[in-house]
Amino acid sequence: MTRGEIDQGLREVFADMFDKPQDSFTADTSPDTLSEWDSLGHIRLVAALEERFDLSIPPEDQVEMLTFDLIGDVLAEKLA
Amino acid sequence: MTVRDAFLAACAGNDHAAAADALRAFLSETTGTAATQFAAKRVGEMAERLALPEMRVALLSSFTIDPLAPHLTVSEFLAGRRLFLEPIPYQQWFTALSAPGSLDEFKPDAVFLLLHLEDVAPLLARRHLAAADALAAEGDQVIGAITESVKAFRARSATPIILCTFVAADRGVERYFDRRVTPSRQGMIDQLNARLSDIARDLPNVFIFDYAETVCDFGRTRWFDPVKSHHTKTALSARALPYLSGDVTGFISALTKPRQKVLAVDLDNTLWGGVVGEDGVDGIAIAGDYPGNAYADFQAFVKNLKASGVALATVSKNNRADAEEVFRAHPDMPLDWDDFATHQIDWNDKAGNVRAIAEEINVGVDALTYVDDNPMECDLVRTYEPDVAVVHLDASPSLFAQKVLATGGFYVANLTDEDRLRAESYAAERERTALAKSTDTQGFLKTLDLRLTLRPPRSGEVDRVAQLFAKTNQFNLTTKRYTASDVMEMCEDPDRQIKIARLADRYGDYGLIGIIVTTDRDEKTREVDSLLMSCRVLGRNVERAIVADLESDARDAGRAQLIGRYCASRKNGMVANFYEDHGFAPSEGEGVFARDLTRLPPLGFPDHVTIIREADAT
Repeated sequence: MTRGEIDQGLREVFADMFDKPQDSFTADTSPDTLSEWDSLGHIRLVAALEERFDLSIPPEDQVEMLTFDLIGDVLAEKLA
Repeated sequence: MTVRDAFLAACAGNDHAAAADALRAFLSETTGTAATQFAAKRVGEMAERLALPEMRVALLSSFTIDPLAPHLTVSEFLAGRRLFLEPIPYQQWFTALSAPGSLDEFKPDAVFLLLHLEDVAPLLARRHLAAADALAAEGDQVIGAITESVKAFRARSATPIILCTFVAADRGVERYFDRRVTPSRQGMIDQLNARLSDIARDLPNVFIFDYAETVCDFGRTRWFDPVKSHHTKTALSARALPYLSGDVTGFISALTKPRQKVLAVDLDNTLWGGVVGEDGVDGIAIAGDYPGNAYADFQAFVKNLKASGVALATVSKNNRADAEEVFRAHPDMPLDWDDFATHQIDWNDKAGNVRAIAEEINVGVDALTYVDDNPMECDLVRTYEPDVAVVHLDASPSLFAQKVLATGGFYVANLTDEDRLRAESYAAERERTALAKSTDTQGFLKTLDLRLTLRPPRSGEVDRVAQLFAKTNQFNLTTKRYTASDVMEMCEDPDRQIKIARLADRYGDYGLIGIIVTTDRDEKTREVDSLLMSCRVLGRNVERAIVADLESDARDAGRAQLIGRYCASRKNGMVANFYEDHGFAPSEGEGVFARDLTRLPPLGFPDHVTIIREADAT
């Protein structure tokens, strides 16, 4: 899976989870810029990503998932 | 158009059924957290716009239950309700129940208490062998905390409380010896669950959601997620959530929706394999090898349904004598001819026959479920009697029972003695209908040998009394909706009198069918606060006896005047003239009637009813 495909999948999940258009998310989107991305939102987001990309994300990796782009990095590493 | 677009389009409309269908199609293709989150948002908006009936649910749990919220919004929408959810933070279930606070302010319609063994009984869950001497104390502590907090909440509110059974999240070293030794971990979990049942039986309006069985349905190893449990305290895997929300919604429906009262069944290829008119009694498939054994099991299921209070009826195109012979002569039939409250076996159209069943046993067609293997007959009934629930048995007979249960119409959250008796009472109702047709009214009433018991409610009857207050719409003078806790208060109040009416006749026992509540305004005046009767017993003029009794009680108490009140509702028009018909005169105020007890003679009891008074045994 290319980084482009990962980012597109990520956009789709973000759009459903936070109820916003896909193009409203940028590489820097983070809990600081998106009020819905709170701790509970993060729990749900992780579950949605695990389903979308068919993998499990251990707690150790979740702490690095601080922005849209950093999530892409974690996923890219796991899917490589 | 994708299923997602179709779903969005349906949500923009006003047709709930169409949106529910589109939602099912969408979720069957794209299940998962993201799709459900998206769907919950859309149906939440639609439910608000359509003003679907509200369902306010408080989820008290020992772990973070929040991820269930979008799933429950979706399943409640499918059931036709608009969910309001109050997930109390997981550490706070005990406090929320014990002391007034946000739970009370939320005004829930249902309170679920879902506790995980690992959270509340960690010794039993994690090291039952290493801590064997402390297990009993831990169990007592858990049950004590639940009992105490539930009682405290019950004292403030009559809202239904639903306790969830315990189940271990995993199995340890005891896996192969557990049931062989003492202490048995599973044995102790069984004991905790038995004690939950005791709490539910002892307190009014407390129910049991068998969470352990729900987990078992789904599969324990896929249900729990140990990493999420430790990391975020969410405990459940994401894939378990739709199943849990679906079952919780099913329970809420069982708790709040009227139950289906009648199952009307086809015969050929429904209760047995083959066609009796062609194959003969010896040629049909019942018992033995497949498919006969599957039909026999379906009959056993139907018989059990009857024992739970559902009346049975046959609707079949057959010669009646052929069909009756199967029941009477075939040695392997679980069902008997007399298990059915009525038989409609002829060559008339089935829509008409289904209607005839409803009339004969005096229920609405919307309380009737009809099952048939023939798609044309099903369509016919759907077309001409759209309120009937139709189940097309388009599968192996091994799956018939599941198909009937899947309608949800027969599930209830509790079963009272009255409920169990009901199937018999419908059969009796048909005999009464037949007798009434053959004779004049007064003669009919006398032959019934009616026996009316009037006395204060006993503690075991409080649930039924609350049920009757909640459900009675037609013969209900004031339509006040008292709860179980209100009833218990009334029994203690010296200025209030509450009596229940039980009725039996030569055909059977109707159970608890009426409630009379009166209030002493002052030394001279007594007012009838509530007077209601189940519509199952209308037309027997039992109300004459009830009024005579409450009048006589008022005289015994030395009151000079008895006041009656009629509060019109959408459904109680039949009793608008009740007080005037029973010797009361219009008085000051809208719907107020009075009877002067000093000047007028006693009303007197009708002679077709025998009154039985039993001492108060509350």
